[in-house]
Amino acid sequence: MSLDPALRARLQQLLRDYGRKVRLLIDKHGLGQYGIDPADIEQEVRIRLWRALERDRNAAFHTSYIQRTVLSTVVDAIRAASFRHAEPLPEENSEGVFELVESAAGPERRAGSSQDFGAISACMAELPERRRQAVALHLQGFSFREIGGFFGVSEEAARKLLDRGMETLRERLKTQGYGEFDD
Amino acid sequence: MTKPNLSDIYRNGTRRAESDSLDADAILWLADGSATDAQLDRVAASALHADLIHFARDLENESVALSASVEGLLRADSATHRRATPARRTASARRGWRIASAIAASFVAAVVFWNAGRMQPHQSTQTMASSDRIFAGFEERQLAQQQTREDRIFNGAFHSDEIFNSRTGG
Repeated sequence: MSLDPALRARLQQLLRDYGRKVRLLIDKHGLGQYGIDPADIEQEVRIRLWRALERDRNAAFHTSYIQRTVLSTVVDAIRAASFRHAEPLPEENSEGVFELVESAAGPERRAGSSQDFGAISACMAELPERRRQAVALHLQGFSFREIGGFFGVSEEAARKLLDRGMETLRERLKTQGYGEFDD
Repeated sequence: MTKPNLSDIYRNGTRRAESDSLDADAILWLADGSATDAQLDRVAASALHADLIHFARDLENESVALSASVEGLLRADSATHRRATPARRTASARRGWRIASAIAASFVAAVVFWNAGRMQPHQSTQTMASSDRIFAGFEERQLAQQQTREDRIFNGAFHSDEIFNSRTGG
């Protein structure tokens, strides 16, 4: 397909701007920690979207299509990084899985965190399913509204579910001698 | 002394990139708020999945804006093309008719010339032949030879003579 030069320039400018925003979002959500290079993703996203436009300018350039293109690019890059990371140390990591360790954390702190995580996981496992899920999603950074959306309940109902779950978790951790935690 | 943060500990503990289970469509589906229990468990147990869902949600606004801008540009371009197309089409149609007329005229002219060239010598030969055959002296012998059939009527060997032949005894 031959595009008018002026139109081509404007479309490319739009994709450049979008690519920069994607890069900023990758930085904002800390996806770089999974071994991907935001600059590479920015470039790859621009290339894939441009190819799609060149292939068929009349095809609908829907939001969902754009999002899927970006997500696929990010997922591909994470897989590639995971593969690269897992290759040199096959005996320490299972296939397709790698653990990201904070380089700043010393061995003692890591051991402590790992112990704390074990205790938290064990206490969470005893919670009823819905509460356990609500607590886990909250700890993963989802808001009451988002949790309510996943469960198909109101924000208020999600808050109550979470409050009860967090209260039970704290009590159990305290009983096991883990003291106070912030959330 | 600061208290340890539950969220940090949990996220660090679940920060394992299980790249095999990553699925862009599933993440978009989850970002849209729809999830099965199995998917929710996976998100709950994976900081990577959770981060990707947060990322996908933030990405939506930017993607909506890009989609609208691209469609706007393409629509404007198509409208410009549509406006330009009828005039161009008329001009090209006129040009087409001119070419077709020229070809037709050339063809007619060629046929006329060809016919004229073919008919002129033929007519004169025929005229000469028919006139010469009748009046030309050099064809008299030939004409005389051709008269054999007509002369047969007045020939001595005429059949009717046989009726009055003496050999019949009559």
